[in-house]
Amino acid sequence: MCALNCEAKPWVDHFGLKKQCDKPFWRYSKEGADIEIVVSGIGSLAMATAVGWAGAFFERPRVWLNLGIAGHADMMIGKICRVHSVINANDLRKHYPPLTAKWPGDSSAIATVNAPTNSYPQGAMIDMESHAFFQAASTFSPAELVQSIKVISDNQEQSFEHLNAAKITALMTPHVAIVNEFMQTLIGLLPQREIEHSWANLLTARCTHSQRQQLNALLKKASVLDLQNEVGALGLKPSTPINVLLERLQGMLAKSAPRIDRGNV
Amino acid sequence: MVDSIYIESAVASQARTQDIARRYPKATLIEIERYGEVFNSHSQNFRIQKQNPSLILAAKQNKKVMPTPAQYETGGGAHYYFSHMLNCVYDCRYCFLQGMLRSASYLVFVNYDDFLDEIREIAEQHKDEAKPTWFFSGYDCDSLAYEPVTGFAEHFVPAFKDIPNAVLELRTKSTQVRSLLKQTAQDNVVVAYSLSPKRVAQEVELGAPSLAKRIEALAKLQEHGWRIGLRFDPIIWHQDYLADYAEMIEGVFSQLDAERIDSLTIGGFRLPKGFYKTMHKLHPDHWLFSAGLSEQEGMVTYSSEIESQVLTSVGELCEPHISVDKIFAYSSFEEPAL
Repeated sequence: MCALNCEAKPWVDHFGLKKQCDKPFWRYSKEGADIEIVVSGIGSLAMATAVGWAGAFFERPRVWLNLGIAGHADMMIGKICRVHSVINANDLRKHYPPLTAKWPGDSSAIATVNAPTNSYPQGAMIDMESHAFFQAASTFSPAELVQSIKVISDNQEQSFEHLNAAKITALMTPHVAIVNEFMQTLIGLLPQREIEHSWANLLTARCTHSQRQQLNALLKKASVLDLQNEVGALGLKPSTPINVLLERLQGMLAKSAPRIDRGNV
Repeated sequence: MVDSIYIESAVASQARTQDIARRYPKATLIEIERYGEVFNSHSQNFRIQKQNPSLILAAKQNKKVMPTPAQYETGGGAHYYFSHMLNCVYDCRYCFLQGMLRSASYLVFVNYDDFLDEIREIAEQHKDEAKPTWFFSGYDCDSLAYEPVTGFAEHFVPAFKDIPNAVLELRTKSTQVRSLLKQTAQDNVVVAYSLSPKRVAQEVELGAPSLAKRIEALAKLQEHGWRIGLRFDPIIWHQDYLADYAEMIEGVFSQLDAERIDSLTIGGFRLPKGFYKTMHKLHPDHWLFSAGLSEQEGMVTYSSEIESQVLTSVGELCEPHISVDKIFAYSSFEEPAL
């Protein structure tokens, strides 16, 4: 998630992403790629709305990364920093993103403000979207997978007025590799996928939604315990009455002691 | 290695805080007001955090020492537990902390003396009782596994010298016993080890020392004069469990002096239903959460038949080696197995 197209451009180019739409937000992706980039526009409301819009495309948790520029009183322009805490300057609410994914560079606090300013807080970066980004994205994914990386664009020596799109892109471009590496680390933290089993045909049995969930849960357990033969021996069919299906599976699972020497973890 | 340390501002200048932080010179230090800002918020995920936990140094407010559930006793008088730390450096699949907490960060309460004050007050309330008052450490963490960092035992064990009607029980799987071996053994401190058969330990007690190392540590402690306890809890039901537990029990009693073992407890795998559901979601592919379990009255346990079978049979394996009055069985059902 970026506020500006010029912040996103180095990654759009690097991954060869194509613009999929420009309303309500610019969205870049390409077929077969795991990554997509959404450009929200400036400010908290725009960022929260864009995250909500982008989040609706996927059911499963995924990594959310906010990339953008930030100001800081005395950090060198071009320096890259991970956000380790964020404060909303309006209501002083704080958020601490869990720092589970390793990041090789520096980290800093950030304050999110409503409008561009040359008044820099001591010991923290300053931007206009981070707090909203964390709040919104954490509703879609575990907080450990929601992170923000900022590149210093202005400081007390050189205010934000000197910035333009080309300069911003130039500030972001040197950091493509380190950010991509961080993204891979975050992707490596994604929770494991659901257990699958090979008895999907039994789920077509005539039953209520709740019974189907129970049946699916029992079949997953049978799969985890490697009970293919035992389930087969029960002779279950989709036409078997659901209460019989459930009872037989429960009975079988209740008696099936796991074998711990077969490397099934 | 800890990458990031959150420090409550109120304890930032305390010597213990600084000593602990100094052990991680490369870590990022982040000051916070209260540990609740970073620990256990609703969107955190225990399983993800366990891959690289942070360290939180804080002060424990309010009540620090709590009564244990009535069933959990090992022959003493009143029973209490306390936790100077939440979470553990090990990653045992059956650990209830995964179901109870959303954060896997190591939360260390550095105000040790406040804990000791409360322990002394409680011990004083029980001073006229015939049996000593027990204080258990190691419910919400491993008592010794983080000892080189926290210095917990080094601080608490000598303090119990001055509380003669109290017993401190340190529950652990750790071989970090150096600080105990440097001290003279105390009558009112018991070091209790959780033990599982070799194959079970390898499969479900990830990161913990092997069975052999734990028995070795127990033997050293016993030789040094420390009172020791054995905890076969939870017993993990599996094919050949009887053979595995028999082998472990033979190994344990061939290396330890059974006469000088304080107590031996056994219990089945059991969890509150809510914890079980959370843990099963975190490990949908683990057999531990799929085998032989049933729910009753808000608890997920082995079925009564399985639990009775495992508690009885493992108890019987122990009986030839140790006096029956030192064996305590924790059943999830009304009638104790022993």
